[in-house]
Amino acid sequence: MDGAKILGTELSRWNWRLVVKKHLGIYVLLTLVAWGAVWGQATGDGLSSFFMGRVKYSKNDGNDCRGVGRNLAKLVSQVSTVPIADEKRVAFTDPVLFETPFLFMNGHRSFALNGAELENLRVYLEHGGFLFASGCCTNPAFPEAWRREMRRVFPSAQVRRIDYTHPIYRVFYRIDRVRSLHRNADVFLEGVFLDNRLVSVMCEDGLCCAFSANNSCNVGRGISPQVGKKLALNLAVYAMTH
Amino acid sequence: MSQWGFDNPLVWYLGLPTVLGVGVLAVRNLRRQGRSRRQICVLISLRALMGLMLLYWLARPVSRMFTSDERDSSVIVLVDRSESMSLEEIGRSRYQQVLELLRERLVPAAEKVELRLKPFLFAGELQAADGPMLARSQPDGQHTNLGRAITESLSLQERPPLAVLALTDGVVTDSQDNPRAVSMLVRQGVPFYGVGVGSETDAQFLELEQVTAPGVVAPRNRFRISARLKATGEQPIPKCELSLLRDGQFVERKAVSQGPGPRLWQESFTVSEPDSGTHTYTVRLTHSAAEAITLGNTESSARVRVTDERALKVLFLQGGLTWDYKFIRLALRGDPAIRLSGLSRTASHSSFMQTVDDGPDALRKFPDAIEELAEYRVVILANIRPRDLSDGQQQMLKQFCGRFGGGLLLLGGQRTFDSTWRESSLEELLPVKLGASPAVTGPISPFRLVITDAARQSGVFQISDAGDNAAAWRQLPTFNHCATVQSVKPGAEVWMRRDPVVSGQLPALMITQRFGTGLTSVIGLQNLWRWRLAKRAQIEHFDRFWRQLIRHLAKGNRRSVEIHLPDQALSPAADIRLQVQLTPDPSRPTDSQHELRLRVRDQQGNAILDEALVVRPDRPHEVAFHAADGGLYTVSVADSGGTIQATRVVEVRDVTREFQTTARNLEGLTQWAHVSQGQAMAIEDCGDLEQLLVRLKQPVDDPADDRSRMRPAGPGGWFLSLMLTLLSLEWMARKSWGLS
Repeated sequence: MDGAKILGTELSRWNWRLVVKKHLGIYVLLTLVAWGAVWGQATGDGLSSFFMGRVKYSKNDGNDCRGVGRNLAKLVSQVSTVPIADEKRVAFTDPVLFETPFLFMNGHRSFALNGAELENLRVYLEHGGFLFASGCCTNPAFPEAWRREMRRVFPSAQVRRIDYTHPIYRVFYRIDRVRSLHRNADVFLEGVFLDNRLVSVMCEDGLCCAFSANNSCNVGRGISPQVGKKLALNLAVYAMTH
Repeated sequence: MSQWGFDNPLVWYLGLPTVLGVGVLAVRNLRRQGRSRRQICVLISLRALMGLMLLYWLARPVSRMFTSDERDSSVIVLVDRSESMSLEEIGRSRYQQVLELLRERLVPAAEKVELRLKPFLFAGELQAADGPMLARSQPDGQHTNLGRAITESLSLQERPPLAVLALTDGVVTDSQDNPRAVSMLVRQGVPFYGVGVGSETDAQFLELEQVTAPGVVAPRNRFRISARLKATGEQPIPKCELSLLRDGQFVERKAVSQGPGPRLWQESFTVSEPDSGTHTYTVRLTHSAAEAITLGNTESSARVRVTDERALKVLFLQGGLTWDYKFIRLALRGDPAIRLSGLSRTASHSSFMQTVDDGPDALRKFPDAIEELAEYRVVILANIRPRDLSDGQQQMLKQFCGRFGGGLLLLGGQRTFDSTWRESSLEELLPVKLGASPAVTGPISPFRLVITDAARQSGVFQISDAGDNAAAWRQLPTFNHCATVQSVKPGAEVWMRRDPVVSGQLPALMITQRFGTGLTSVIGLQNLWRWRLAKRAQIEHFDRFWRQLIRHLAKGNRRSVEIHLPDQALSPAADIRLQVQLTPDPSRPTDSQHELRLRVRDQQGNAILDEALVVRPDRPHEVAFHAADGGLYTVSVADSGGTIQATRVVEVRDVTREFQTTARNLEGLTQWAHVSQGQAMAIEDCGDLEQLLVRLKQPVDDPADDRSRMRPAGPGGWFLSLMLTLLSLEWMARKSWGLS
């Protein structure tokens, strides 16, 4: 057995089991160390600035358009001097939600939040958290659900279109107008305003497909990847400064 | 730095066979007498030893000095930076004359003859220097010890230099190292060359050293413009006057107080301004042309900003985009008087900053001038290290806080507060000392944030109205990243600490201190924003803490207690008078008196005075402390709760030592030169320095000269004692064995 040779002794099948038993403690320790290292990488070291939570909500496991969170973090890292942590999966009911100041959620389908999710999201946004939502592949089901759920979170808050005069369009890149690729129309972000503070932003025209996948999943539709990257970066910078 | 040898080595060639032959004969003789082997061994050994010692003596041992070929082809240049070198003659100070000589004549001559100069600055101590350092240094050393400079500079060399060249006025205040220095020069055969600067006769000098004024004052409040003067010479200074000018226009004149001997003292003008604005106050020193006195610097200015602005402007500078800015901004939204402007660094290794704001308070770049920066009452540096700012920006921040009474808050964790702060300009602003080793990065065990007793007394930490303030602080989440500080500076107060305490680490998390007329605070936590985002957090507690903290920091220039320094001499071994004054607080008209505690500490941190005071508004309380020695004395006044309300640093200097005699001492330099076969000359008689350097570089080929470098290293008293001992031993051996 090669494994036995590696350990420096010629052992029969029976003896190999004995060795495993003898060194079990070491194997367990090594495994724990390896897991610790992987976990440390996945969650960042806590000193990193752009903590981004990828939201697992309702029946969505936060896996639509895989890699979109990582791509957003990469975008931010191009303009920031601070260490950027990778995304981590967060449910609205996770305690770690309240240690993650920026959330990103996307999806293709409609969704509905349960009572605990609604309550946690309300507290989170009131305390200064920010939620960036994007409907995948210009599918209207997700944006409609987002508008409905936001009104459930803040019944008295405004959920409205964000005009091009808003600082979110010029906080880093100056964006005067966003044109739709498949409609003869301008694309506007939509936002939830709580006491005149923008706490959540949504784009229904496949913004995540544009900045993350170069529209490969949404060919000829939504907004252009160049504008999408600028818009996504503006959104992240705005969330970190307002 | 020398070699041993024998002046007459022939003695060894002839003497050794002779000693050997005599020894063999002696052995045969003793055998014939029937002596035992032991007796023969002892006697022969003693005699052989004596024979060898005799040969050593006859061969004349000497120590030979290095010739110039064996030396380092460099010249040590000692530049005097003692205070007497600050005296101005022929339009510039003695120190500037020396720099001129170095720059324009000595360095070009050395380059021409390919000889290396090793410059050192000296006063009481020696310091290796280079060109920029020489240009940057100020002649402010309080002692002159040329002997120590010579010994230390020679000790630092692996091989003896060609010469030691001292550029000095020769006025030495400390001569205890002179014998050792002479011995080193002679032993190593290094000639001393002295170039004397300054006038031949003792002259009286009078100089306006500095003008100080508060950086920010309120309209219609009286304040002082103080001038520090320095006089030399034994005679009382003749009649001189000080004129005060405001933005170039004459305001007031006063006669300089008379007084004998060299001294350092202060003269003040009291003024007030009716309206807001920034003004430059200039003090000018003048004297009658007929009076026999030499004036040094005669003019100095200070800027004063008069303001009663209601808006509290805060500048937030961050080393990169972080969440601190966002959450602090959210907290400050509740106070309409606070106007926040944010700048963020855009790239690593760059000091360029970009706005992170929109609206009327957006700032496009770091202010270019202190007047622009002084518009802000508080500056927050978040996740910024000194190297992220230019030298000019760092100096401006120091001025902003120290002179203009601004508040400075430094935020960051272990990545921010690392060893790069040490010996930076910004390090002075920190109320803590940081370790020399690089910061440890990575999470540590979760800890809670606990406010100290001192913080509980402060309004900054009253975050709950419900009477459960302590409980409100206990609701904070745990943290796991913080800066490690080495120690808290004297006079600073710890406001937050971590719990539990980690052994070997100082638990201080938030520390504050007065800096000049302003306040500085450090919060050594990376992610304090987590407090606001936490699920159970009362966001109004977080917001209130930040609003109160910003308002507290902005009070730096609005303090209610002031420490004045009345006009007086500032000399050691004298009592220094102080005035503690309360500024009337219109919001508390019934407040009749305050119980305060005044503490004075010397430069080593020893308590000189600790006194309780009862002070009434607008009635200054006089107090004095005894300054035994020269140096910086820190005066602090704390309220009954122990919170420091005002601090002031008083400089006491002994100018009698350096300015007792001011004429250059060429005689002293000549003595140094004489004992070491060098030369002393006045700066105006230096002549061709190139020739001098060529002469130093010439190898010593002359055998006669080589002989002159021989120093006897022959037997001394110990040698004779040893020979006598050997003789005695032989005599005793013969006696006991019955030999003739």
